[in-house]
Amino acid sequence: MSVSTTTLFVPADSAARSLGSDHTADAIAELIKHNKIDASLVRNGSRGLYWLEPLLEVETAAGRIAFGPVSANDVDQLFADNKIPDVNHPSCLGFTADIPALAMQKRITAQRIGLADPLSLQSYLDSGGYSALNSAISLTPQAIVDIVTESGLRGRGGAAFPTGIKWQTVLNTGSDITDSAADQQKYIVCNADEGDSGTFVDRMVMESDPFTLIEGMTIAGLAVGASKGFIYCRSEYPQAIHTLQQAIRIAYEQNYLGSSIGDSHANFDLEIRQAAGAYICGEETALLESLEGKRGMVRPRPPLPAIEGLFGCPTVVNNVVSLASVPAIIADGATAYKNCGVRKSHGTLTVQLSGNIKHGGLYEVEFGLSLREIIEQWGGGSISGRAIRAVQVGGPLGAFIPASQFDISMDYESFAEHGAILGHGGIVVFDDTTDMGKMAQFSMAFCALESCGKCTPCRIGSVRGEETIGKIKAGVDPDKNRALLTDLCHTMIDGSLCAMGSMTPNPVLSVLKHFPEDL
Amino acid sequence: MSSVDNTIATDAPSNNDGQTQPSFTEAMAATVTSLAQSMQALDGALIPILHAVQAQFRYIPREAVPIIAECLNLSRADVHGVLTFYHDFQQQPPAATVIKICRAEACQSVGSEALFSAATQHLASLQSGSTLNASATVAIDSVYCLGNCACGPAVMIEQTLYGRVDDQRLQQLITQMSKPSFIHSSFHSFTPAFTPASTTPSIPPAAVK
Repeated sequence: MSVSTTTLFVPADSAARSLGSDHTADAIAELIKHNKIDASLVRNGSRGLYWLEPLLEVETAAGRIAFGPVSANDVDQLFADNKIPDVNHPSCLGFTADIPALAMQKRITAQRIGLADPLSLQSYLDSGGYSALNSAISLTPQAIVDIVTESGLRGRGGAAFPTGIKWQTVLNTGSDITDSAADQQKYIVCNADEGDSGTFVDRMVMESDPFTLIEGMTIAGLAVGASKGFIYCRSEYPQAIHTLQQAIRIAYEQNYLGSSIGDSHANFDLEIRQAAGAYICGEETALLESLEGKRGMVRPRPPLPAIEGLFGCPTVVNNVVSLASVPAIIADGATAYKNCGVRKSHGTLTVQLSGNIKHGGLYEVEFGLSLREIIEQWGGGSISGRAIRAVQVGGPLGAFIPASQFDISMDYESFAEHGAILGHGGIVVFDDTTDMGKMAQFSMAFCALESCGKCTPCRIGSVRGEETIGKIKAGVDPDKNRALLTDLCHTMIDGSLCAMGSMTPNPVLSVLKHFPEDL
Repeated sequence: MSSVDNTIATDAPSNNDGQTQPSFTEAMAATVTSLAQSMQALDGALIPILHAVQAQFRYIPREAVPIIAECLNLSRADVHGVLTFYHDFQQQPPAATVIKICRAEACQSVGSEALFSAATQHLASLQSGSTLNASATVAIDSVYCLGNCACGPAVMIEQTLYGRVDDQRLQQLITQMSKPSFIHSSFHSFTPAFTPASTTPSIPPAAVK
């Protein structure tokens, strides 16, 4: 390889591949193979600007420049006369880092996503990876938990429970009944069962930056005294599972997992487990049942998983993004993270913009941006070109928010005040052709399909809810059935065992409230 | 394992449920036993074992249930209960190629319901024609979220993901895969974008205590 060899990047993230990035990469590899250009090709993760995928990046002395979308058919023209396109090429988007939708972001958790070959441990180390684990190894478990608590990090899977408090509970559990806390088996479980429509950041972390997740879980293990971790990943993500398997193997080979990590006292074993297609297993107690090899039936709480979790042992169950945020918090300090955001929503939210929107993708921003800014300014309006009627935030259990409320600030407290949830920050956009009554009916139907069946309000309420909405739409006693539906929703909210039954009414009630013309 | 595949009988006998399964050979029983025994030491081994059996046969033969139950010291009812809880586990051999169309909210917002209907009709019209053997080789299924929400409608065929799929593209894919000679490139196994230096399996060396 001569000194003038240029590095080219074409993503191998599964969404980029779904838009043809493999064909683009193959076409470029052909040029390299036949010595038409002096370049090397790296298959990086995706930056998350999905309207530009497949995104080709060219390394220059001043930084990477971007071209996109580049299909395989565009390659010959882009590399005309066997010349690697430069910044003066008419279709160049400029420096990648200056693309407005990327420049506006504050990437902390996603700081490495899309930069390098996800399985290059060297790239990970070169960009500061594992510096947090090195620091954590010299700290006491309590000191690590204190940093996470002070950072204000809250569970990014949707429930927004303070991560530090959960860790503290697991750290404390067992230490009062045994001579040494180390005697008690504890577990770190990563919830990678990202089943909500409109969410894909967990997939991106696993496919594009797996070592950050592994490092975060290892730090969590040190913090609470857990020597074993599991990643429970949904089976719909074959590439994420494959990438993590490779990354775990590499981490073991390089002594970043296993016993005496980095020749220290730290021990941590990690396994990935493939889920089996049940949405309810994203609920933490159902997930634990599933990991134990059982039907994914929700457990009553208490006991909390932090006290009696996997196989009855104290267990931290955290979402992918929560765990992947930990290395940056340890490396840069609690204060830096806490100073981002507004009110009690500290740090950044990995907004995932999707559905009927022009510029869908990953936007990691500080809490406090308005929904309108994300949807209109950055999202660029609907892909159909029609007016946007509603967005659903926080997945299938989140409320539909009408266009009149788009000025709402994206933080946990503001959403709660509007009777909505921010959840994991997934935003699905619907245009004005959407039948909102049908969306409400779908919410109930989905709950009926995926309910674990343990509690009656969820198991039967969802079936009756779907039927009742059908009657209203067919004009059968609409007023009476609307009252019945509202009553049913409140029964589900008050009487269900877990969030699935108690939150399925969120989208239904929001349609009744904001779109009465449709239901 | 080709030695096992060769033993699956082509004319499947009917069992008392009226459903048909290929006959369960001794070689298949040996494979199930060996998979179950090799994984029984895992914590919560049942689901990994069921995945492994399905990866081998594309479904879980009913005769595999007592073998797995015995190996894990569970009742057959326990294994049956788990097997029937999860959408992934198939009790009958599926079509050679399963086309999963995402019908969750984000894909609905860009027309996945219409896409689903059109695809189903297209497949039905192929099946009623005489030139293609579509019913045996291709099936359409619903899935709720493939994590490709910013590039919908999303479709997964075996383990290959497709984004921004329209009617025309999907009908092309269905027609192509309905041809008897078609073998999907990702059939049975995940194909990485490029092969890393080493592709040794995932069981971490230090995980076994």
